[in-house]
Amino acid sequence: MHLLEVENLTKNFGGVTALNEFSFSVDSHEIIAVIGPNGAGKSTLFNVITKIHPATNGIVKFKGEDITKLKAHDIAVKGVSRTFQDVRTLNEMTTLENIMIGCHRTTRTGLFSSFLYLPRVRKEIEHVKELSMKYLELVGLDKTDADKPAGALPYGARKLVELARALVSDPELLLLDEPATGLNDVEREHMAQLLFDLRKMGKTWILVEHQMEFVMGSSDRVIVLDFGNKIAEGTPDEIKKNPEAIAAYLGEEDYA
Amino acid sequence: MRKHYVALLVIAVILAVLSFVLPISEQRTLVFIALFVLTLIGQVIFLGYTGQILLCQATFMAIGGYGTAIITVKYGVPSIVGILFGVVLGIIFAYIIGMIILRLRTFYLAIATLAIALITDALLKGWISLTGGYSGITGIPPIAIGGLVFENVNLFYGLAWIIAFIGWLFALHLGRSRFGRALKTIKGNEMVASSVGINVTKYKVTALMITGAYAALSGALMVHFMGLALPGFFSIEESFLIIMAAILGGASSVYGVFLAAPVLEYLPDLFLKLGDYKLIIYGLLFVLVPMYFMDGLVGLVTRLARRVHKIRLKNYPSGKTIAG
Repeated sequence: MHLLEVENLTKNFGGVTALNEFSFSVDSHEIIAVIGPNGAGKSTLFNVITKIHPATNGIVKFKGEDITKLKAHDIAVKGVSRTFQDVRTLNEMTTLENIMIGCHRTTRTGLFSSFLYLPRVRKEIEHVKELSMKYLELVGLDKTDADKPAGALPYGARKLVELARALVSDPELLLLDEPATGLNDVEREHMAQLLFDLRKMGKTWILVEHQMEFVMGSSDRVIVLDFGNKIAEGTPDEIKKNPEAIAAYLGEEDYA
Repeated sequence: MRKHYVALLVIAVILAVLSFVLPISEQRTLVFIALFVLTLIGQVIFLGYTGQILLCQATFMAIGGYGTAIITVKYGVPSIVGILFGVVLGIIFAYIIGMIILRLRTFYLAIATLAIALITDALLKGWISLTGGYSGITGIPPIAIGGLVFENVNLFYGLAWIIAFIGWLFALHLGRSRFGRALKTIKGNEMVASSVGINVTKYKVTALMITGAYAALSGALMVHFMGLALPGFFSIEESFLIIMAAILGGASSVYGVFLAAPVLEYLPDLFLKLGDYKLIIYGLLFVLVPMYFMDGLVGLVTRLARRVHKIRLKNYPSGKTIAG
C-alpha cells in the first residue's frame, strides 16, 4: 500500500484546468519532487490534497483511506503537514509559539482541564515548549530568536519557522511548497543541507519547486507538470535527459 | 505564571481593604465593575484570543438576566438554579447562533451580531408577556446560598469579585493552554490553523459559548443584585460600550479588563453630561479607538515603556542593544 495515492485528480477554476487527470503515488521514506514552470499546477496540487480547494474530480488516498471528502483540519490530523509558498508565519506571535502551534495534532488537553490549569496541562505546555525548542534549533534558527515576534525575523528565517512548525507534529507526509523560493544563496544552501539531513531521518515528503537544480540532488523521483498535465516522471537522471521536460523549461525561459 | 497570581492577589487585597473603607454607594459601583470585568473577560476570549468581533454581548447578558429573572419570579425556583439556568441558556444560544454566523468574518460578522443586538432590544421591549416590556421584571429575589442571603451590598461585593477573579484565572489559564493557542492561531490565520489540524469552526463556536457563559453569568448576577431586570440594562448601547471598553483596555491582555471595566462604568455618566453631543463623541470614539488603540491602554503603556527603555539605551550605549 502506498502512503499517498492520487488518482485522476482534476481541478478546474472556472474554465481553466489547473490539474488534468493527474495520478501519482508516494511510498514511505520516499522523496518526490514536483517541478514545472510557474502556473503548471504545482501549488494547486498541494491545495487540493490538503483540501484548501476541493477537487473537481478524482480521488486522494492517504494510507489506503479516501481523504478526498475530509475537511482540511482532519487531513492534517491524519498526518499530512505542509508549508506555504508565501510564508505564513503568525507574525504577532513569538517564533517559539509559531512552532508550538504545530503540536496541536499530537497533544490532547481539553477545555476544562485548561481552565483549571491541571498538572497535566502544565506538563503538556512544558513538553510542547521543549519539543518546539528542539525543532527551532534543528532547522538552524538561533535560540535567541525564540522569544522574538516571528514578524521581526527575515524572510528566510520565517521559512525555517514554517518548516519547524510542520515538522514538530511528526507528520507522516510533509508537503513543502517551494522551500527555496525567495532565499538568497546562503539560505538556499542551508535549506538544501537541512533537507538532506531530514532525509537521513527517514521523513517522507513531496517538494514543489521550479528551480530544477535545487531538487535534482535531493529527490528519489521527479514529476514534471506543465499546464496541469504530467509530462514526465522518473529519477532525476532520467528527467535531465527527457526532451519534454527540457522543452517545458526552455519554454519557461522564453517567457522570462 | 506565579507573577500573574501575585498580581491578582495584590488586586484582591486592595479590593478587600476597600470593602471596609468605602461607603456603600462606592461599593455598589465596584460591584458593577466586577460584573463588567466578568463580561469583558468574554471579550478577551472572543476578540482578544480568537480575533472575532461580537457586537451583541448585551444579548447574552440579557439572556442570563431575564432567564433567571423569569424563572425565579414566576416559578419561584431558588436563585442559584435560576442563575445556572440563565448561564446554560446563554451557552445554548451561543451555540445556535455560532453555528449560523461564525462562517462570517470581519464586517459581515459585525453586522450579523449587530442585527442580533437590535432584535434583542426589540424583543425585550416588545414581548411584554415574557419580559414585562419597558417596566421589566421586578421582585427578583437576592442570591441565597444555603442560609447565606446576599442582601446587602457588602456581601454581594465579595461574591461578585470572587466570581470575577475565578473567571479571570480561567481566562488566563486558557490563554496559555493548547485550547488558547488554537484560538490565537485562528486569529492569526485560519488557513494555517486548519493546516495544523485545528477545527476552526468548532473552536470559534466553543469560544463564543464561553463568551456567552461569562456574559450570561454577569447579566444574571446583575439582576439579582438590582432586584429587577429592565431592557435598559441590556441595550444595544451597552453592547457597543462593552466592545469599545474591551478594545480600549487592550483585548488581547487579560489585565486589560481591569482598566476597561471602570471605563465601562464611568463612560455612560460622562456621556450623560454631554447631552446632545454624546453621539458625536460616540462616533469619534468608534472611529479613533480601532484606528489608534487596537492594542488598547495596555498596549499604550507597553509602547510607552518600550520608548522609555529605548531612550535609556541611547543614553547608555554600553547597555544591551536590540539585535536587528
